[in-house]
Amino acid sequence: MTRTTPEFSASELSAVLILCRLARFFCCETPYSTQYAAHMLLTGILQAILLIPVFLRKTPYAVPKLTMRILEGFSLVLAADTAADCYRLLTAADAPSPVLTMLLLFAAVFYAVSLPRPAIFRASVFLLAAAILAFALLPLGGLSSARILSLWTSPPAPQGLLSEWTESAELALIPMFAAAQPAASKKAAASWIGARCIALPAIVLFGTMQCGRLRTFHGNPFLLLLARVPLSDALRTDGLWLMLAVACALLACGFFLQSFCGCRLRAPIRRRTIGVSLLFALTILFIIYNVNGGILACAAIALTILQWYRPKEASA
Amino acid sequence: MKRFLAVSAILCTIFLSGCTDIRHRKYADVLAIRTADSDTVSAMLRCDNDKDWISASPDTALLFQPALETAGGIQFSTGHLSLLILQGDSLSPVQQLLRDGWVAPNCPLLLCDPSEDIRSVGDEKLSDQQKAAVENGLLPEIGVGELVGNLESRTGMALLHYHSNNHFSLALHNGTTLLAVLSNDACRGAALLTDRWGDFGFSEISGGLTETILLDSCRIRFRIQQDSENRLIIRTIVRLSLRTGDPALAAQGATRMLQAFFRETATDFGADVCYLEEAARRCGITVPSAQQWREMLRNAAFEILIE
Repeated sequence: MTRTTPEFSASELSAVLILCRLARFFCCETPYSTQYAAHMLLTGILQAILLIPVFLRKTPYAVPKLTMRILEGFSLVLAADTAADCYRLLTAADAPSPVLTMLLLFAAVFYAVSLPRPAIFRASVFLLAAAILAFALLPLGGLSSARILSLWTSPPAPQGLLSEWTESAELALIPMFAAAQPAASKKAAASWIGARCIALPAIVLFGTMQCGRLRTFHGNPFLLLLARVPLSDALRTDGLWLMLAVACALLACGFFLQSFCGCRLRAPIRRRTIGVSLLFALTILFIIYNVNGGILACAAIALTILQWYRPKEASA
Repeated sequence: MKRFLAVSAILCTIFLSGCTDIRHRKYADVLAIRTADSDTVSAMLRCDNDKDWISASPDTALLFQPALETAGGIQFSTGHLSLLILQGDSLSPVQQLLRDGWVAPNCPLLLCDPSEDIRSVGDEKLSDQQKAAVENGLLPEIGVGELVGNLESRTGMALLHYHSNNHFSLALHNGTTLLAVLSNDACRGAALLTDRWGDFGFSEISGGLTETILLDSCRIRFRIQQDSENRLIIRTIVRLSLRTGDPALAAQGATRMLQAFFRETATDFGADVCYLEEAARRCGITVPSAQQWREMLRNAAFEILIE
């Protein structure tokens, strides 16, 4: 019996999945309010329920080809979307030469994608450790200036649950990894859900307590949170956090792109399959900008879950 | 791969080693804005280690940046402002500045009396004096973020530091009109509520003798109830930690300051500048419309319980 080396460990997959969500958290305009934290928690619970099949599955299985192409196309869309979010963050933070930075980012992403798959997974563990250390500084710096009563401040506009679905779209990719390594994916999915249900709502609540009644701040609220914490006096901080945000976005882009084409790099490229995935990517992109990303994410997950129970022979 | 890495290294060297040309950017220290009416604005800016003021009069608040940059012939960074001085009735430029990312939310600000000359106010070490007043518990800490947050809250009123005749106090403002200048006791009550001071000392007279009281810390909780006539009963539970002085006199002084603060803000104007709305919501009270909430605050009974 030959022993095969696992492509990724549970901690590596969980790190990369958490960093994908973290990249969105840094780059998107997450509203800081108690209601949004509650919505995050609720969405996390709903997604955990959706992932029950992943938790129950013990043996490897084969994802049907059509579902695989859809998920690959979706990965490509996520990579593009993350890159766009990163550019938006660089512009909002008034970083010097955002276009050139993005060009360098693309070079780094393509280099990361060309590496064997474990490279991105291993890097993500180190990056997540750095992110945890950085986040640990926030409460140390801002505990004295937090106002608990701010948690009861009414939000200016109703918060949507759908945005949280859109920003945690990597959920749809979990079954793809679970097909190859159910045990590691199970643990990774559990940590991802844990981070989404506990760590991120906690950061949102902390931000809410820091920002007081200021709710209609235009721009990235994470910059507002940093500005409110006494550790950083300036609004336009371009130090550790910006580097961390860009690194997370880079890693997420690399991960999504590798999910799209990484498996083909070591094998002869079949134009037909790439073409099908690209077609799906374009369709998904069209739906995202014309319908809603959340609906799309739900559809992708539903499709995956419906199809993955097929026996291996049937999909071959 | 080696070629790729070499090319990347060269590109990084070319693109990332360049710095901003500091000759074309200055860091502003003090920014002063004067509003005559809703549309007329004049702005003045003084940079670090620079005695000269750069002034401009843009047509609207939206045109601050280009007007000042044209007048100064240089780009300005205002992320590290040590003071934002305001003069005039309208506070809308502050909201505009925060929205445009010109000032940080924790940037200190000061409203000046219309009779004062902004240049002479800005030239003094006013920023340091203001910080000392906050540190000594004479004024609460108020930044641009607090001001804008309170102005956008249900009652639409906010407190901000006020400077007149070389004296600091607090002004209650509704964004367009200065409603009142608070008394010294009310200012100290506001500072006591925030608990962000270093030393909080005051004196009380007892039996003809003046006793000095120094506080270490002050923790405040609100308990809000409604009586049978829907009247709010706002209990402020204060836990004082004394460094020196008689506890009874400390309680007497703290009660006087807090009562003055609530009387001059909530009772007189229906203003909510200390998270009363949030405290009511926490206590399960449904907060009505802005007008009704202001009315409820005007009629509320304030009780101070010192522990």
